[in-house]
Amino acid sequence: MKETNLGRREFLKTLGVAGAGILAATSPWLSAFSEVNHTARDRCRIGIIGPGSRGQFLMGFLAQNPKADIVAIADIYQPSIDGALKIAPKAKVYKDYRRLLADPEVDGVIVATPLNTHYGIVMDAFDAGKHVYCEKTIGYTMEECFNMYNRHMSSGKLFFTGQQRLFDPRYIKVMDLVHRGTFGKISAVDAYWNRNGDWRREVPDPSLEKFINWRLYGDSSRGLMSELGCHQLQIGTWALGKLPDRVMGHGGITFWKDGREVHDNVHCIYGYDTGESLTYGSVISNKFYGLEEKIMGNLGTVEPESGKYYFEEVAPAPAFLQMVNSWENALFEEIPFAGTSWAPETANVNKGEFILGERPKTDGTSLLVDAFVEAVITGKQPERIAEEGYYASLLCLWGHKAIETGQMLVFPEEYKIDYAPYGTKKINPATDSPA
Amino acid sequence: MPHIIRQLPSDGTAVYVWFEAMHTRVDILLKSAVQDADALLAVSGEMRGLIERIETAGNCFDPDSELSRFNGLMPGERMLAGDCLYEMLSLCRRYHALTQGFFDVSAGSPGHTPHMLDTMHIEPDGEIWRESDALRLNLSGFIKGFALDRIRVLLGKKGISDAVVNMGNSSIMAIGDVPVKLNDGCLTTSGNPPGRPCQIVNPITGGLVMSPGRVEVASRSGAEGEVLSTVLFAAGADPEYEELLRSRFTIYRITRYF
Ligand SMILES: NC(=O)c1ccc[n+]([C@@H]2O[C@H](COP(=O)([O-])OP(=O)(O)OC[C@H]3O[C@@H](n4cnc5c(N)ncnc54)[C@H](O)[C@@H]3O)[C@@H](O)[C@H]2O)c1
Repeated sequence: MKETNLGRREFLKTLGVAGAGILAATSPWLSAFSEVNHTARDRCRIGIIGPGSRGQFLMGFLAQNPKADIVAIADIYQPSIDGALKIAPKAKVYKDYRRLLADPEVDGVIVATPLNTHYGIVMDAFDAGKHVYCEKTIGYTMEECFNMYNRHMSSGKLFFTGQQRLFDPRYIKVMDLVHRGTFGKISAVDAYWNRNGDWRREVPDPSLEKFINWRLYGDSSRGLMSELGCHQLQIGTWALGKLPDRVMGHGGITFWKDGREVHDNVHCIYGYDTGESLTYGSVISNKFYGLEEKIMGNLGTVEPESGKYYFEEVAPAPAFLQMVNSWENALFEEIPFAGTSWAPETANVNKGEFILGERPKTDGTSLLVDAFVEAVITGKQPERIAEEGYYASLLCLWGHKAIETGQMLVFPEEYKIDYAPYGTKKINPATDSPA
Repeated sequence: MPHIIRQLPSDGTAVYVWFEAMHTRVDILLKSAVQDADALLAVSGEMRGLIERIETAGNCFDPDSELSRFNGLMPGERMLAGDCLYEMLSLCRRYHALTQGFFDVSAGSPGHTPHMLDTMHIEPDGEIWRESDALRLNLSGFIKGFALDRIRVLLGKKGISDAVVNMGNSSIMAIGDVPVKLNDGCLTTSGNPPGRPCQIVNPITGGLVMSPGRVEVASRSGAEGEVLSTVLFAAGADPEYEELLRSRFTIYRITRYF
């Protein structure tokens, strides 16, 4: 028997939250797990379309989930099929994804194919009545994303969009603190992802170059914006609680001049009418500063990737943090007076505080996959998952467009959807006059 | 104001706030089963306001404080004291008597004599004045404990029974159901922390108390705790004197560290 991998209790424990429902206000999608006990005996049947590198990684979590059966895979590349069959030896194999979609034994699909293929596959999947999980920039254009989101809404089928940080304990905790004003007024979020590498995959035959290295070519990818920026832009809007109004950008191929078409160096500034800014940068010829989203408030800074936050002036006292945490976890321990933990000396070096005592074992992906399984069983779309992924996709594609055109672009009203957390409303051309 | 809010599994809310005031840091932890985070934050804000009011009344290092004004009055010149300063000075006068002169907020005056505090005048109509311009009052060893007592009153009015307040580690109050056990009272410390200049004056000899170590007093009232830890440190270990103090104040515990 497979062991359950849900680890929900452990997850909530890591968050320092003892009771369920406590984070419902800030992270309502966690309600995906609210029926885990009722669904204990249920199972769902999942098909994987494009089980390449990411697809197989996601299959690893499904294989550990007693509620999920990987019943079918579809891919056009034999090495991917071979790899996938090692994880799910009993899965039916299709060469054409449409045949997988026609299979009545499949309840939901994970789409893990290159960016430019998402649209056709996801739209067909909704039309075939399947639930859909698709990472992470959902479409190749804003219009595609808009149509995909609308098809999800009209079909009533689930749409999971691969923003795993929504299930990362560090981010959930951070956003709870941020939204409660712990770090004061947030004026800027500065996100970046820097690496030093060519971002290439080995190609067994030169004729497969564009197929394997699809990330590097303009027909199949939006480069660093769609493949890395998407996640971090979502963190920006999650923290700021609203969508930016304009964007400008710049990009270039400065180091990896190897025939690729996508930039190896991109930067975008997203601006808000209310003054805040969200900046994103990615350089893949220098890794010194790595990966981070700096959330900057007048009282403090959060660096969720490194797992720490820093107060500007006076840091909280460890003994008091221990007290609130022990209450929260119903530990009722007595806390002795012990010198500097009560009133730490004002240090010259601000070492910061850990967001969570323990480094979480998950970046959220396994929980996101588990949440999809739960949702396929219950048929209930958890709040905000589709919308967060939708807007994250739009932001990266919109930024990419700004880089390409070299112009400052205004957020296209026609792609706004009804989404209360960001205060956006869908424009209905029949009843709303253009602004 | 920096703060951290926690929803508690028992359906309550805890709020932790911290800031700098009175030349040190202040940490406040409040818990309530009925009041929500916003209400607790509002109370924290009032507590901070109260601490700042007490500071502008009694901080002798702030040239704009009421106390500095008093310290600069011409002999015989009168000023109207605000309620905080008036109460602090009245209490200090009373504690001076109860401690047989060992608690003396005039001890740092130039040419100090044991009866110098008697030249401070507190009139029933709220006016205060001094006979001699040599009289200088310094409430530093008292003001935090006084603030704790005022905070306790404020918390009572706001219906909050569970709280921990720490003012720079030297004056701590813990009331109600909290992880720190102080019998609903205060813990105050006086002494010479290693590596810092001596500050406490023996009002009888007029000299600085040079001995290392510190005295920690657990008591009901914060103001009394400040008085007691100061005089117990200044007077040194004297069982008879300690007995006298125990008969006059509510003392839970005295601990000496050398
Ligand atoms: N959320 C995340 O953190 C994250 C991380 C990595 C990748 N991804 C996403 O996963 C997707 C796949 O990335 P990858 O690195 O696994 O790429 P990959 O090239 O390793 O895998 C893509 C697979 O899709 C198959 N494929 C291509 N066209 C197909 C078609 N028409 N029908 C069926 N199969 C087809 C390929 O043969 C290959 O097996 C991308 O959209 C990427 O953005 C997300």
